[in-house]
Amino acid sequence: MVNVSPNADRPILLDSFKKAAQAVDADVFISMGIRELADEIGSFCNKNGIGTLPCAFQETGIWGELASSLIGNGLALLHDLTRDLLDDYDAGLNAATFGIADTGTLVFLETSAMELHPGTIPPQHIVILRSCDIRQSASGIADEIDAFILEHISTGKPCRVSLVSGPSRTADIERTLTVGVHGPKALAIFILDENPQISEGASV
Amino acid sequence: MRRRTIQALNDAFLCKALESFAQGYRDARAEALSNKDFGTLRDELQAIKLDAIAHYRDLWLQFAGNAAKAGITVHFAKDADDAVSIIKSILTDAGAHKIVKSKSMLCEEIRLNDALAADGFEVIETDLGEWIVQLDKDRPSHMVMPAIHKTADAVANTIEHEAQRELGHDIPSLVAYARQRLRREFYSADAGITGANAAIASTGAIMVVTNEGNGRMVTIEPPLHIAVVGLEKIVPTTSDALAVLELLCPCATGQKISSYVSFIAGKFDGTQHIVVVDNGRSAIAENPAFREALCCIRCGACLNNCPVYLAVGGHVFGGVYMGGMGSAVAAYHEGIEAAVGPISLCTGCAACTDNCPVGIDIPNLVSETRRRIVAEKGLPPVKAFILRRILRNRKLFHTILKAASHLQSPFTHEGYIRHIPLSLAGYKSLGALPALATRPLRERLQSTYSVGQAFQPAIFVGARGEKRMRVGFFSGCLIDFVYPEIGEKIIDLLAHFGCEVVIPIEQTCCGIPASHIGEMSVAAEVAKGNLAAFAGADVDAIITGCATCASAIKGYPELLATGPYQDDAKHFASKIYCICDFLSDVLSIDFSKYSAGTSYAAITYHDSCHLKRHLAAHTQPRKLLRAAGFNLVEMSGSDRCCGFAGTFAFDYPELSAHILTHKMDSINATGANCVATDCPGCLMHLRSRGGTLQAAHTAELLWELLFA
Repeated sequence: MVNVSPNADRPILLDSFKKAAQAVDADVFISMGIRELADEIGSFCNKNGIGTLPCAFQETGIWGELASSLIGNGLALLHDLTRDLLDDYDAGLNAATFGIADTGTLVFLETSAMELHPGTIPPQHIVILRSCDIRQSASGIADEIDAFILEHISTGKPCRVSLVSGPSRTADIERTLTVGVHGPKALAIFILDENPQISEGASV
Repeated sequence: MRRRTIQALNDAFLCKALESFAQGYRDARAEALSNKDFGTLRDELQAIKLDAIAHYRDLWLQFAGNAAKAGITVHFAKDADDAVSIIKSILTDAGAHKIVKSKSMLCEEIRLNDALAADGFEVIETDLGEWIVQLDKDRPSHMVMPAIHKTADAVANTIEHEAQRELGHDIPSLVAYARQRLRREFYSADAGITGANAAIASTGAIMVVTNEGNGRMVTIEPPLHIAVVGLEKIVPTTSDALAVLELLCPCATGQKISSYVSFIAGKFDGTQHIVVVDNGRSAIAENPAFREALCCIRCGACLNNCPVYLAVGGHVFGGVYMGGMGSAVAAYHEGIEAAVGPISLCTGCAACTDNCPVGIDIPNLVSETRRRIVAEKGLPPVKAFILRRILRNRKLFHTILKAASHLQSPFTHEGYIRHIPLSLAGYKSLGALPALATRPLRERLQSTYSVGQAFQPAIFVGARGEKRMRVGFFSGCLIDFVYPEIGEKIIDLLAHFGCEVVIPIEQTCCGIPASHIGEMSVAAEVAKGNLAAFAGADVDAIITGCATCASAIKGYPELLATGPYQDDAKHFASKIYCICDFLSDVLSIDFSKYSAGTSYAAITYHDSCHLKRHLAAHTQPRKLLRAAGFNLVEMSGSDRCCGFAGTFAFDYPELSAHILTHKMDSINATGANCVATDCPGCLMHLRSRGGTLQAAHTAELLWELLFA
């Protein structure tokens, strides 16, 4: 359970995160509530011809509400993802646990390949993130990374933590930056920036 | 080696690509580090790495224990053969045949691909640059950008040949094909092999950093993942790994962070093995003089700022690791023989150290390696003769130089060697070499000033006006035998500003030609000669006009660290100043009083590597020149090596000339009609191009204001 708490730095962190993510070629959308967030994602999918969205996130709490709203917007959400299944779709959606403002980085705490696949297989990677989970720097989440890994290795379960900053890229041919190599060709980040006063006590 | 450098210099695309890369990298790195305190982060990371190296055995055990908890099988390989054997066994036991790889310098180091291919395994590199290089049966020429030496057209031909169809030569089409083509391989591979940028002892996780996303595919898709990790990559905590990450990306590619950073603790839906490789690393850890080499995080920043790498690229070095750092560690990973050629390419400029995110003193590692080479393999006969028979014997050395100054006359014209003898034809790319002065400095001074025997034979120049202090003058070979007029002007300045100047006659070379090459016994002998020449001089300071000599003398305490000369060496080194340093910081001369006018519309300043990086005395000449009224216009890359570097220019004249061309381009772009510097070696190189641009020692410019 992670409680959302008011944070005076949140607007600054959000703004820094947005600029840094855009600097690494991610598209960033900010919504003030679940309904608006669902509309933004729906509109984005419509525009990009995405009718079915393979998803890998915990549909509980606030993200459960989002899933319902997305379905209400006419999007088909696909679960139980496999690599072969994802190969047939143009986009995949998952939820980042943290954002890093300095670098526009998304942080994923993963316990299965299925959670990774939306961000590795389809050409369009869509990510949802809450603004209250944005931290200033990577060093600020070292304890969370440690806790997550130690919790899993203590029970003999594999896990991984992925830091994703923009879509995949290369400059290996004549130093010409080309986006979209072995990973996604595009990354869209949808941020839920709830009013802290209203959402305090909400949990995921 | 020289032939290789010439071949590289004749590759117009390579030269252009490296030049473009150099500028692009510098700008991107500066931007990526713009909000960071690089110095503090570097010091912190260095402390982390040094501490990890000091405890590498404990960390290895801790890492192995925690990784095992995550279901990872951990192996220790003592050397390259052992590592290859372990990896083959893992693959064979798993029934693997097809292997996808992401870029790993360590896999290159242990020659893994060749070994696996020889046993019938199919190995496919998946980093785009590595894949291109593999398709071409070529070698990477840069740690981070393996195919930097290839044109887009050459890459297109390679990929089209592989595709057996036309793809178009635009880069996005080529990348799109690689994506689609290598997807098949990720999905059908039996195993994936990666390196790791860090291994974390407290969790047993590894950190893998990539931009293309191939690292994620290689570690997720095949049922077996093998990570090959250097022993030095183990750090205590995740925080430490993040500290590596914070500087790795800006220094490697000029990014704030790479697209993908994965902390991997075990394998989903499969098995994971980690092979920790020693291959000489524990031997390095046990050597206090070389230990810091293990701090290297393989970012390539040293290469990206190395004047030699940026001129000829990586293939010239011949090994897996390139540049000064690569040449030094080659001796440990591949044996001393592997270091002999590439180590000679280091100019000692120390730009690598300036830009290293771990602050490794790479020139020192190079010196250590050169010492080892001389100790184990000896010197080439000509160099051995010159250093051991001539340089060591001051009288013989000076007699030969004086004789040469007479014998050279048929080949000289207006102070330059104009008609190069056939035996020196190979050096014509060095441009106009100065003739030896017909009368060296000491002879010239002896005819003007008094010679005394109060302590050792010495020339005494009295202070003009009120005497402020008594100083010694160390001329160095170039000022003594090539540019005596500079020495006279420095002595004039010192006397004018109230210094009694003592010039011991029996002083000799500073020893840098010997120490640079690794012949430390000769360097120590000449150092002792200089201590003896100045013994009893009772001077407050020793002034030189040569930054290289000053730097060498600053190194005397280390050179003579054992034995009876230690205290004298420390005393001597503590007194040495470059002339501008002395005028500015010790005498506090205000040159604005003398700023009556100069004939130069604008001047620019070239930082000698020794003055800036070894002595940190680069602000003083600028301060003096500006105060004196010179219109000082900064050039781009004022601290980039001019390519002289003493014997380097004669070992690699074409390469030296190429590096100088970049320097001259920077100078000319300022519009200045004079370039000032504080190193006679740099000055000789800068003057070699002739033309209307003047090159002057800073002291000459200051002298002209007072006396011309």
